[in-house]
Amino acid sequence: MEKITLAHGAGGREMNNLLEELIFKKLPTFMKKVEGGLGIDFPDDAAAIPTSDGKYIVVTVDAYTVNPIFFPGGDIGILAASGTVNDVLMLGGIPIAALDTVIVEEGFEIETLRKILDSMFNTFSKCGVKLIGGDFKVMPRGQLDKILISTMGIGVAEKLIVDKNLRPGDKIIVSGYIAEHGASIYAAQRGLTPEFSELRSDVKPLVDLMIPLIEKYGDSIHSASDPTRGGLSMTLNHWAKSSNTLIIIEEEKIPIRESVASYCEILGLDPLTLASEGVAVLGVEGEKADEILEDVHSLGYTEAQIIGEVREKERKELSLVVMKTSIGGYRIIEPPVGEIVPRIC
Amino acid sequence: MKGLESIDLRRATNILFRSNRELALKILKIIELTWAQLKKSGYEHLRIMNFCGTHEWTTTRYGLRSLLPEGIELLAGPGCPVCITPSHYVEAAIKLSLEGVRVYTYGDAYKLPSVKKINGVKSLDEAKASGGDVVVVYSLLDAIRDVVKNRVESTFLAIGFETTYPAYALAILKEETPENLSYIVAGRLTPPAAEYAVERVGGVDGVIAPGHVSTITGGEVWINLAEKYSIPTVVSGFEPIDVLLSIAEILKQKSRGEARVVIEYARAVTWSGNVNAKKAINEVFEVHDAAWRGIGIIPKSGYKLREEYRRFDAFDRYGFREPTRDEWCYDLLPGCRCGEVIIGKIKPSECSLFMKKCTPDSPYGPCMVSSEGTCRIHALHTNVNNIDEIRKIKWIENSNHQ
Amino acid sequence: MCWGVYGKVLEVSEKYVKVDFGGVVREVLSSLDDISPGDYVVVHAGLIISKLSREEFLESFKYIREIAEKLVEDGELSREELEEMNRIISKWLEE
Ligand code: SF4
Ligand code: SF4
Repeated sequence: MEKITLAHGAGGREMNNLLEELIFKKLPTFMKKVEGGLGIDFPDDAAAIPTSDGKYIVVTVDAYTVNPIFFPGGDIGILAASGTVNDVLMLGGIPIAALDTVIVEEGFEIETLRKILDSMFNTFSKCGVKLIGGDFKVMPRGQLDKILISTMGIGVAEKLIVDKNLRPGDKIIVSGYIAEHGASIYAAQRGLTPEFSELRSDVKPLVDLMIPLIEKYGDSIHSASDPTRGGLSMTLNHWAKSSNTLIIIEEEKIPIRESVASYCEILGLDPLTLASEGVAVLGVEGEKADEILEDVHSLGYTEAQIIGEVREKERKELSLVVMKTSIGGYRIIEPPVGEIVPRIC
Repeated sequence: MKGLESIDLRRATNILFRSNRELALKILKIIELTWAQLKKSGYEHLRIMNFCGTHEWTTTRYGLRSLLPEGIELLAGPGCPVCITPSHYVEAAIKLSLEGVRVYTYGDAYKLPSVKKINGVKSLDEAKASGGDVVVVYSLLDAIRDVVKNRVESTFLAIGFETTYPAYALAILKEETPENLSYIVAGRLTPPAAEYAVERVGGVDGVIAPGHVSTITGGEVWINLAEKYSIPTVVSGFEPIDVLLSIAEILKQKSRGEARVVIEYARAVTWSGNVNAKKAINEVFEVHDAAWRGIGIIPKSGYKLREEYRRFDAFDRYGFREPTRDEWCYDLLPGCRCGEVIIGKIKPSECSLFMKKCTPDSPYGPCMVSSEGTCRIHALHTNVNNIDEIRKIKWIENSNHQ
Repeated sequence: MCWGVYGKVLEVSEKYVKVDFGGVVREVLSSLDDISPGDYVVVHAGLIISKLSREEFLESFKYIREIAEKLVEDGELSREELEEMNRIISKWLEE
């Protein structure tokens, strides 16, 4: 009998296939969204329900397990709060409230739990998000690996930023160094920690970036995502597919910190497939791109770059992401496949 | 001009060999001009074979095929220790992992499918999902440290070529291998397989020889290949500029009717190689006629522990044995044409299972597994059919920018 | 077949060598005895397999220069282009 492997949870093709089979194909269309809103008919960063005054309630839910719970640059509390806030933002919503479920394993230290919850509360409070409800459970020892936090985020949007609205002529902006979270967690998890490294997770809520942008450029930002699981290559492939376009990016323009690039090189990992938890990818109107980039810089995201653009595709099959490589060749960027493992050859 | 002494060679490699678009264009121009001359003298196609999965990776990763003039074909040869690792090693590893022996593996072999299922399981990652003790490591040192720390009965799925084997040899010689760690010795030698492939495929005009294998063996091991088959052979580095330079050198030799070994990768490879490493391998291992998955038995192409170190052999320790010549059955599942893909005889797209029954999500044959597997590389990076599409894109871009 | 990464040797002890891979430092094994701090090495699967030679660093370009010169002789390539290429190769040395 086929069993769930770690690859099924890695955010790549295996996971999509599994969800397709178990969920997307199963549900009849009318069950997939609230009339006039956005649901899993077009899976995006979050879902939306229309309100009577022409706005939308944006909702998202996510479960967080991370090993180790405290990692360089953050902890599971910050991660759970940021992740849900960012998902609301990426759909164009201003986050206002959240609910949480915390499940811990019997034997977990209360002091540690306090630290984790404090960082979660701090993060929510920095974002102006109220924690309005939740649940708490304890599982018998061995039935859970330490702790699991699930957060639900709620926001309000005047206008939704939906990935399928990306269109030819748009430029792609990446707000900061990619793959930082993925690389540092990977190093910690696999015991492949270098003796010394500058690897740090980039986990953070993106309110200070996204709220000003949404308010000022609501109409010019056609799509937005945070490239978490599956990394930039997953996000862009998803965009190309849902918007029926061809995306061309330039390798040289993609912001990567040297230590992250080095770490990936040592293990033969592709940084495009590693997660960020504090980066936004934006698809913006071509003419506005430079102006928006400048604003992104002045909001403190100084590593931001325009990494590529969106083209009309020539043929039906061509919903691709193509990268112009550092020496000028072209390569198709496929969504990541399988559990990410280091390689020696 | 700064002297070479003070330069950061890591950075310099990046700048000069990896991201130098200007230089790439110049080399390409020279390749094009030389190719034009060759065409005038009657060539229609030039088939250049690489033996190293990492060269194939460089080729696809940097989109080199999209840059080369039409008519120059880059073939992928048997350069991946994963795809050619016979199923019985994988089966033994799975079995041990399910019986409570910790199995260390490089990420490359983690998903490698076996031919036979062991307790319903046909790869180490599935074994892990079923409760087997499998640990993915980046280096032998990681594994040794884990064994010492956790004091577990364990074995290392020791795949690899000349490059990977010095580590095992040194760990044994320097008495770094804990007694509760054994090795599944699946090591193979490159030159015999290269000659085999060149002979079987035929019509190979040039060879890009593996740079990192050659750091150990030295450039000299390729002389026989170049002379016996009259094929220009270039020991190449792994940056895109290295590969382009090697292609240019092969074209040059062709145009002058030469067939020599040239070391393009001179910054890391010498003619005689790494004497220390060769000596260590020699002391610990002997060479035997070994099986290559999908290919068969190639004389003098595999490593095996010498008598005095046999106690580290997992097969001896746990009562497995190598199949005999008669039992050997090529190890491929029905329909999988990896054997031909591996030696560069067919392209993955010529296999009727490619991207149908056999995909990167659920690999059917071994060449779809390793990140170096030709089928996987073609599936992920450049569906060969997409080369034309990419050329079109290039055209769009050029017209946009002019 | 064999993934190799360049790094700079920081420290050599009896068993291990500390190598800096550009912001990431790891301990590796060595198959060479004559390794000293400051050397640049090629590391494969946690093992130093070769030392990078400064003298040979630019050797790779010997062949392409040769071809280019021949092309200039044949009149296929202009002298300027050859010089342009030499300029690109030596440019980074000045940086
Ligand atoms: S596509 Fe799959 S089945 Fe066909 S040769 Fe490649 S690995 Fe074998
Ligand atoms: S996957 Fe198979 S064909 Fe490809 S490099 Fe490895 S052995 Fe060769």
